[in-house]
Amino acid sequence: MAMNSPASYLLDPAMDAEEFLARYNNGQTNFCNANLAGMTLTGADLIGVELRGASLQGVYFQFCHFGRADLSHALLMGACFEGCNFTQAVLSQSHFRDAVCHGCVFDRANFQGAELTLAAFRDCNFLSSDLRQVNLSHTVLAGACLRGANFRKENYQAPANLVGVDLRYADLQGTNLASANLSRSSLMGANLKEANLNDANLSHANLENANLQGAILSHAVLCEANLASATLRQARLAKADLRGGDLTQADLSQAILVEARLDEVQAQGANLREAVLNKADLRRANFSGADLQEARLIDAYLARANLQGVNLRQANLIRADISSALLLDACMEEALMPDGSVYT
Amino acid sequence: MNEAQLEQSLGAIVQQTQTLKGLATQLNFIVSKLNKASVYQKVAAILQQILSPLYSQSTPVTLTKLELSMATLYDLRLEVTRYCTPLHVKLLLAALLTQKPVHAQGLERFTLIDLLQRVVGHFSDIETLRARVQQTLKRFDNDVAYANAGDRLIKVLYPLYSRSQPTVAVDVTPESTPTSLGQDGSDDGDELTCQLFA
Repeated sequence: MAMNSPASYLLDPAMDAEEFLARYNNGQTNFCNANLAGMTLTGADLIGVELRGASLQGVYFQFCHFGRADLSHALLMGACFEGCNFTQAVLSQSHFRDAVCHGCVFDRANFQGAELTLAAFRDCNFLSSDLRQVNLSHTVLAGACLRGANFRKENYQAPANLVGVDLRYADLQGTNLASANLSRSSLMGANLKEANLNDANLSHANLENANLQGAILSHAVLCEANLASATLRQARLAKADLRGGDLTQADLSQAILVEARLDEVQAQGANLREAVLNKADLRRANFSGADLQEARLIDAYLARANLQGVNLRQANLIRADISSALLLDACMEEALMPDGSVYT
Repeated sequence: MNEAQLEQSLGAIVQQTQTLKGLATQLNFIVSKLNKASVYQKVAAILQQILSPLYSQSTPVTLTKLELSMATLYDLRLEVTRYCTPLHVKLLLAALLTQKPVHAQGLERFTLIDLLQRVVGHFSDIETLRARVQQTLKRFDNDVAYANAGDRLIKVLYPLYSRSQPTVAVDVTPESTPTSLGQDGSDDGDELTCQLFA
């Protein structure tokens, strides 16, 4: 079969909705390379339809069922889908640029290699969908549910491109986003509980109020990220780079921050109870009013850090460099001091 | 007085009177001030009978708040969309909150979680919600997709309402309020009403 090319659609006049439905209802399922551009359909049952390489540019489909449909290589630019069901559909190598999908279901759909740049998928479900090698740069996924979605980086492939993606209030619980590029993304209020963000790039990302409880962020880059009021309880941030980030009022209790870079972070009022900050670099960081009770800061570097009013009760500061830190009004009761003595 | 106003008034009465005895006292006081007290006495007795299940026999009604964390709201969103599309659920939820026609385009800037939160905050108990769902489904011509959504909604919310008993008013206090998706991320109840339901 000849591979589709955009020019080929110019040769075929667009099929009208009535003819398309009549053919489908008569048992035809193969509409590969068909031209359905501009079509409007509501409530159509199109289960298993083969639209490989078809043009669906500018279509308006509402409450249509595309379960197990084949839309690989389909052109969907500027299309509008409302409440459509694409469960187990094949959408690999499809082009969704500028398409709008609202409240659709893409559970277990295969998007491998699809182009979703600048498309909007508001409140869509992507449960266990395959999003490997998908370009999601500046895609809107606000309110979407992406639990179990696969963004995994394949060997010798570039990491998932989610630069500038809008994931506000999206549900990414337990999702594997290891090595993904999420720089400048908006993840405000998103659910990233137990997500795997190992080695991910989250620089300049907005994670305000996000839930990152138990998330894996080892080696992640979070430079200049906004983590204000975020929940990072029990998160694993070993060797993470948080330089210049905003951690104001964030919950980092029991978080692992071994060898993390926290230079110049703003962490006023943050909760770091029982956090592990051994060998962490906290130079010029502002932790005023933060709670570091029982935190472990062995070998931590706190040069010129602002620890005014900090609760360091029972903290472990053995070999930590606090010589130039501002410790005014800090509570250090029973803290283990750099020389091994107990503060009295 | 329409049904919604009546429901609101009844809610206000229950909130103001902490016990069944208190309700009876309040009703008797009102009746005594009215002309034809004997007629209204019968109405008061019926009201007392209808409202009595809302009051625990031994403990006073408390206005405890049902606190739904963001984690719970995300789980709820997942569960209510298991057997229908998120758009079906959004349209149903919006229709539960207004008698005016709702359209998909008008709901784009509101997340499903946002609407869920508003519904849980709006309905004081599961029976009131169930009744409203049944009533609303008629507006959708009892479409099976919306019926599925309504059924699922009641099923997933039932345990939450049960746990909050003997609660009269249900309020949602998430860790952080999910907002609509405006440019500034700001949210305002009145603004929602105007833009979505106007």
